Amino acid sequence: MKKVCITAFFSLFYTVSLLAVSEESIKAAYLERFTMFIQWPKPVDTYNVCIYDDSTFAKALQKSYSSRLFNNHPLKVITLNAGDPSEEMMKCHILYFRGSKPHQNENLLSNLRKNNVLLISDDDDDARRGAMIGFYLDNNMFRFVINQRNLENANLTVSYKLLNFATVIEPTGGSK
Amino acid sequence: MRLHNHSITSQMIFLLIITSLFIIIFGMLFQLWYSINHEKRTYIHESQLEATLIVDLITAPLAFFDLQGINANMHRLHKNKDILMSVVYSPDHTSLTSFNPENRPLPNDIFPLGTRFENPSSFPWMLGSLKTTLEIKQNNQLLGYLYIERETDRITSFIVDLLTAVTIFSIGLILFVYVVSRILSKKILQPILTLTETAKEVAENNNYSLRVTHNNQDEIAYLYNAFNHLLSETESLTSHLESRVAARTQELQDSLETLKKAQLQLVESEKMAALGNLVSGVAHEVNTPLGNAITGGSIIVRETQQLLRQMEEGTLKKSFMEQKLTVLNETSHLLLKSINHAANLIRSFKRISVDQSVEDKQEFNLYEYLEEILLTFHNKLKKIPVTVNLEGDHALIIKSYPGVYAQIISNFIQNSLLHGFNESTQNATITIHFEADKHHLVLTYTDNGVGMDEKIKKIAFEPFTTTKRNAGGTGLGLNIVYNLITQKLLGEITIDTERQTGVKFTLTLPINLPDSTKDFIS
Repeated sequence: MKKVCITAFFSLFYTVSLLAVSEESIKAAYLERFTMFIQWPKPVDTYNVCIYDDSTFAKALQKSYSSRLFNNHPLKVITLNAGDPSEEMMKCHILYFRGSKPHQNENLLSNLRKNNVLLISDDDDDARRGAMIGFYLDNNMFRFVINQRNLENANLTVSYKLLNFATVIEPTGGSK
Repeated sequence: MRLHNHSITSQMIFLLIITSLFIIIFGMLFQLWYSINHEKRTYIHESQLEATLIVDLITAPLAFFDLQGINANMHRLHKNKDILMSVVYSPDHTSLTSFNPENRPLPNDIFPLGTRFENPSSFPWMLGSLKTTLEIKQNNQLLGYLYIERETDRITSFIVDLLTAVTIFSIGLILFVYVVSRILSKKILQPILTLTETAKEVAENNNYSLRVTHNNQDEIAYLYNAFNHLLSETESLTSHLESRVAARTQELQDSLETLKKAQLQLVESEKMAALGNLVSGVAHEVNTPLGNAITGGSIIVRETQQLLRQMEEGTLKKSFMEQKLTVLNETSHLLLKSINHAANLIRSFKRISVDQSVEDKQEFNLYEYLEEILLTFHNKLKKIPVTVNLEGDHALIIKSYPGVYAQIISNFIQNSLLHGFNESTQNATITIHFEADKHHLVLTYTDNGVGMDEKIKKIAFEPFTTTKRNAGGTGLGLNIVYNLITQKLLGEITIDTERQTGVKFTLTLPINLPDSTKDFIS
């Protein structure tokens, strides 16, 4: 089943074929796909994707979009290290917790929401806290949980198509 | 098909059915066209809706490379039996997954985009398959294509059902129209057919006592009433016709009798007028010799008395005696001559008048007889005066009715005197010329009077033609002449005249009239 899935991935995701077919490459591709289904309140010129505590992934991501656009826009990958001031996080459109993750106190989360930052975590439990999307593995497939309320609180609009596909927690009934 | 040779009923039914057929055919064609198009549009719309829904459902699974998710959504198409296959292609046209229950070969070419019918047959209800190709896009990023192929049996069966229903309905409608036509034609045309039958019977049997009846007060009733009225009028006319014809015939016979009497009276009047002319001519002609005779007689009486007185007185001398005897002798001769002349005149007149009243055929000298006729007009001719030239063989003897000749010439002379000559006529001349061959006599009568115009000339010989009815003309003169010449004398007469150039009558007559001739007067 995984083989089939990988084959499909290859055939479908031809644009990221430079990346190794791995969890990272799949998740890197997922990041772009999320931008297709989620709208930020302000027009986006360049996608600032912040990778928290995984410079390798950040580099690979930046490299894979060096010669092409990231959902029709340039991509700027920002590597955040553990302990960096939280102001850096406010510049991000997407903040992806890769390795460790900062302490998610309400103040930080509130600021992130105000700055319309899409919080993505490898831990699907984070979605039950402050993150909007959390990955999990199901039957050898990377799947994700979406917290619709958190998305709405961050003033991010999500497509009904994505909601229909993903596992949604705290649904609000609103979508686009 | 010659429709007008058929009965009105057949024509009406035929026309109604033809009209209905046209309406039904056009209605059916329109209904079919409209329904098929509507069904096709609906089918296309449904297909597009369904495809759009599937696209919406598989966009996210496709974006996140979840074939299971795609298959799960495509599996919803199981419910739709029309779907032949559904395939998801990558942007580079590689098939990723498919729903293909009949394991049909996947198409190599899925374009153009949109929905279209493909491989339709030549029958309008066999539409082939309906193919839909839609792009799967998200945020203007092409993720792949969805291709759905459907069978169109639903439309075909709809069209076949519709055709069957419409055909059954049309047949039913035609039958209905036929029945209604029959009923209508019976209701509307039956009264007319009854009328036709009645009219036919009336025409064949002359039975005008027939009547038609109609219960309703409609246009047919008006027609029937008019027909009945016509029949009763005709019946009334027919029943009175014979008596009216008899009455009219009697009236006509009476009129004819009256006319015959009038004609006879007129003819008699003409004869009397002719005789009157004769008598006045006689009186005038005889008057002169008789006056001379009276003068002579009175001279003889006076001279004789003188001689007697002198003889009684004895004074009679021989010379006086000789003188008186000479006077007496001359006077006696004169007296005798005058009386002889009168006697001759009376003999002639008697002969003419007897000839006119006694219709005997006899031989006579034409020239002398014409002279005697002219003599009777001597006084009147002298008055105008008219020069009469009589030209012809003095010795010609013919066998005919002299009285008729007298009547004819008298009429000519009367006409010339009354109509031909007037105050403006210079040197009035009448010329009577005749010449004869072995069998025929050609006699021309010519005057140089005013003649006749063309209008009068044409009807000159018709009865009652006169230009002087107020002056006592009967208009019968020339008609009698014509009848005498053609029927009594078995000859011919022509007239040749122009205004102001006089008139010329040319008579062609047999010299010897056969014994058996019809008596015109009787």
